[in-house]
Amino acid sequence: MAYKILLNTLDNRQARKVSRELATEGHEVYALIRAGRPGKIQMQCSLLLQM
Amino acid sequence: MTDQEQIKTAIAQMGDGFDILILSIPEWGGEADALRGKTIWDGIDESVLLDILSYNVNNVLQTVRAAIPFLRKGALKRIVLLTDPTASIRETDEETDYAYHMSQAAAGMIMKILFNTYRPEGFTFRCYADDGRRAGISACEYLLTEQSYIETDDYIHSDENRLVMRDGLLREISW
Repeated sequence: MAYKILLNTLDNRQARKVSRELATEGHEVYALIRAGRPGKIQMQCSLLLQM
Repeated sequence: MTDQEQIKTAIAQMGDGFDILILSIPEWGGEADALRGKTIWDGIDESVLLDILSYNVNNVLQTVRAAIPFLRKGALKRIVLLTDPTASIRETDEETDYAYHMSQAAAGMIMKILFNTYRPEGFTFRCYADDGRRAGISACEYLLTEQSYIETDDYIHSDENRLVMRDGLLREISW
């Protein structure tokens, strides 16, 4: 069963690895992307491409 | 728009609901690099330390607050924490990167609160501690694994009815 999955950040080695593995297995993986420092957040929710 | 509202708006782009929320502590560049590799004895800048803690912990808290309503609509209702054994207050032998490890310890506390609050609703929880070895099962495998659950069994015998942190060899890491 393919799950829809959200990561709070990709600014973490483990998170990047897990997101790649999950996407490879066919799950629908999204991640919150923060651009800028606290107080200047631009939040995006991005669907990661399957690897 | 507040940070919280931005996160909620971003998550809403995924659709009506989702199944698994994976949390981890951001590894900053920039100012955090000024603390990297330093111990608490090295005269670290406390304002930078607090800034990192605030950013990291709020990142997790804000995401969780925004995500819960969407997770409720998902099939699995699972919350995952990716961490490492240095986040264990009992077992750590790490002296450096204090802000990062304190952030991880705080994330463990957040998971405990979430477990106590949302487990009765049917949410499930996984905490995976990566010790850097390439042995055992990966975080990816572990977070998708179903754990023992017998309703009449004592909670201590059920990984689904207590919050447990495990490494790739499925060894339990103390909090």
